[in-house]
Amino acid sequence: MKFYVLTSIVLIVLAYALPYTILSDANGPELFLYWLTLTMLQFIISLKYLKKPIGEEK
Amino acid sequence: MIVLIVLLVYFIIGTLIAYYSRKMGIKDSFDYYVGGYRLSGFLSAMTYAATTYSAFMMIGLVGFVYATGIGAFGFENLYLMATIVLLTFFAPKVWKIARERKWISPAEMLGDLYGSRILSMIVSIVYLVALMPYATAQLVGLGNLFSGMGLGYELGVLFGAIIVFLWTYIAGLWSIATTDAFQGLWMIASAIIFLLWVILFLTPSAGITPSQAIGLVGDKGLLGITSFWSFPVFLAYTVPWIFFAVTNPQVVQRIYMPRDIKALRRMITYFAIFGLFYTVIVTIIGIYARALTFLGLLPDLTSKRDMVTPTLLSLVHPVLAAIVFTSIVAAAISTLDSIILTISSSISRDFYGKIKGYGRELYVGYITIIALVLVVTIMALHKPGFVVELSVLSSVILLPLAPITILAWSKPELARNMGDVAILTLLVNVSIGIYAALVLGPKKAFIETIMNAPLSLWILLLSTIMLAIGIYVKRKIALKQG
Repeated sequence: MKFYVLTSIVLIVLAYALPYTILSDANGPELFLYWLTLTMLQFIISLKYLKKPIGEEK
Repeated sequence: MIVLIVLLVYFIIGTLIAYYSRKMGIKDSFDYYVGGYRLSGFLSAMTYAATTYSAFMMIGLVGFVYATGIGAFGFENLYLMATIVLLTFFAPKVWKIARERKWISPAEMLGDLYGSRILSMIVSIVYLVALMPYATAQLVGLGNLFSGMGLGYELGVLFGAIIVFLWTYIAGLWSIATTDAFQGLWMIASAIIFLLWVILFLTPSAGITPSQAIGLVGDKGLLGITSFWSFPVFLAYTVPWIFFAVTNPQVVQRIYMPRDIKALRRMITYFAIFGLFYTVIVTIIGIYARALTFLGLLPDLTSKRDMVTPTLLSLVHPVLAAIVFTSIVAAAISTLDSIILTISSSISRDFYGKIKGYGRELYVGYITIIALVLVVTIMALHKPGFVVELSVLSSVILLPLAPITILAWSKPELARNMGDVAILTLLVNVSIGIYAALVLGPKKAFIETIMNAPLSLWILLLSTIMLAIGIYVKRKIALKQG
């Protein structure tokens, strides 16, 4: 559970932070691909987490 | 003429589906409002997706990407990421408790978790205040869409109102969920065909390749963070939406409905796939539309961004245009009927039921649906400016429910007997949202910043702090009293 929550928070913070810092000068498909990759990652770790039975999400 | 035929086909198929959904058997309000907790994973996912994604996607987001660049994709994508997290983390637990407590409306859920009947009544009023303008905006959108196609504003509003009434009234959640599945498939299929047509036919007709079109948009700076998407504006748009899955009753209610845990997992998975595809398709359409403007194939619509999709449709084969047009109608109707049913469940259960008893709850629900559809239709026909504008703020008005709901879901034992704290938090913060709307106007209030942070962020912070302090103080007092 802790891994899932922490990873999710990090991914969401990254979705806010990098476009306004490191990627602020990007002008090609980078931002689109960046946000898309974060969502795919979120989806994959969520799928793994969802497979755990209720009450055993430790 | 073709548009009318396709609309008629859509109406007939949808009504037949709604009619046959009665076979699922409606014995009481439990069946009528939450499908007796018997929905399959596929139906749950489709009704979740079709309820969430309104006409905003194909009209609003296409125009938003067109006018403001890729930041609009970031905003919609953050909503999706956050919703996947919130559903994955909370939905299994909420689904399980709902089975034990037999919740029907989300207001009832909060009242139960906080141990306060008054809280559930106040939450119902907040839903009504926040969602009626949002519901009206869906019908106004339909009217504008029909008007743009030369079919008349009033026809659009009345067509929408009749369908919403029929598909809600016939079998409650069953007719809504089955027609949502039909409408969701229509929405995603037509979006894919529309995108393929833009990429394979329209762009090459301008004498450039799809990658050259994207390069053209990039050269103009629209694939980066544009001046529109300053960080406070990005926060103003994203903060209310990342909590949509916990604040909007029409989607919270859908967590209760899957028939087993497998169906719930399927609901989350299929919804995420649907959301990702739909968001990406709509974004790419917006980018290509902007490239077509740079090439002179589309007029400059940056100041009339809601006209981007209708203008694109005027260049399409009439049959495809009619199919995409109907998908936008479907998106509006699938959102609106779910909101009407959810508000109806709150009024009949959390008001009438709690005051007069649950005997005639279903009968009251039918009358409420008729009344709500009538009110929304009259408001849409008269288009009172403030009400329509207030729809922009609906997510902000519902935002104080985020910490209140998340606390109750994660620590139900802490929330118990804290109803008065939740009521105070809710009343203060909803009042701030409404006051800002009255003083500044809803549109300005939405992006207004105080110390570089948007109003929504302040409301979220204040409601969280109020809730935390209230609970701390109450627990201290309880400990002192032994």
